[in-house]
Amino acid sequence: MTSPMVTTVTSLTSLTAQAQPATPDDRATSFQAVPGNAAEQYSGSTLLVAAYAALWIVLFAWVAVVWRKQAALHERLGDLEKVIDKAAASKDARAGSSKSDEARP
Amino acid sequence: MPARSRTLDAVFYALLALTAATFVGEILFIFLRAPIEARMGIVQKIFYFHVPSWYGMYIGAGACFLGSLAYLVRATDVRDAFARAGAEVAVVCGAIGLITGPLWGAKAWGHFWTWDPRLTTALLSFLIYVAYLVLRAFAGDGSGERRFAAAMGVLGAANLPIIHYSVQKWGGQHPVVITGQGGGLQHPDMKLALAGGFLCFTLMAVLMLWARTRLELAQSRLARAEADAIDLGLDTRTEG
Repeated sequence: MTSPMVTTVTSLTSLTAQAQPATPDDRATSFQAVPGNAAEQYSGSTLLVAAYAALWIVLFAWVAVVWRKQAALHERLGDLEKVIDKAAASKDARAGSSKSDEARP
Repeated sequence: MPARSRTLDAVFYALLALTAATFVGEILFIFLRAPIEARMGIVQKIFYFHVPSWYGMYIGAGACFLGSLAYLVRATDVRDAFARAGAEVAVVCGAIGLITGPLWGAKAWGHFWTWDPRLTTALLSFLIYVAYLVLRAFAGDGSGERRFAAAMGVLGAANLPIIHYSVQKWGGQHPVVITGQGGGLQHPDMKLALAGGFLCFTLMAVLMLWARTRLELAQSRLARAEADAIDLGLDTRTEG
């Protein structure tokens, strides 16, 4: 059990260390492994925002996919209408020419 | 436009507005009313969309199962379209669950992913419906392909009860808060927030199923019209 006196001294020491400006000599010169089986800590707020962003990104991606499918459908429908119009026009032309043949003396 | 179609459109738009309003209300409730969980902190709020997203996946998978089964009994365009729409809903909701779960796990467990029984079976189920959609997208739309996909839709549902009971049967790290021996949500606002999440995903899944079934049906009708045009000797090849 740490005594309150020791805790106060430790806190004061760390405060003093924080107050001093860092010099180039304070920079790390080696990488040390964390003792024990420590896992990386993540910010809960960041993860929460990421999760809610992901929800909307997935939903909007779905809307975009549906939009693309609908556009392809619209294009195919337009092509079919063109073909029908062309067929109707040639039928009319045939009917017109046969009428003019009949009218010829 | 026929009167029936107008009525259906009105119902669809009303449902769309209700879903949007429910989502807005749910988000406000989660962040302004639901309390912060004592041990995990704010990240626990992922729970209110994470669990309902898997429930949404079950709705989609259930629709795929029913549509596929009905198609195998008697093949119609509507049944096939419903099964396909169900698989798509399952993939969308499963993707939400698979993304939000690891983000929560990173804080709660210190790992984004573990090969826990529930996580593994859930991933497997998601991949089954992805495979279904890949099959539908690339294997053509003949009656043989449709029947094969229907069989896959029926068999794919076999994994759903395994996901649900995997935690009770095989243990693992996944929490059992609201099912099995779990202690449940200890605050009434937490319960309300979760109920709101379920409502949001139910409405959303119904909307998605409806919209996709309608689109699939329109595609089938168009394909039939194109085939009829070819039978009548019309050249359906596009120019340029």
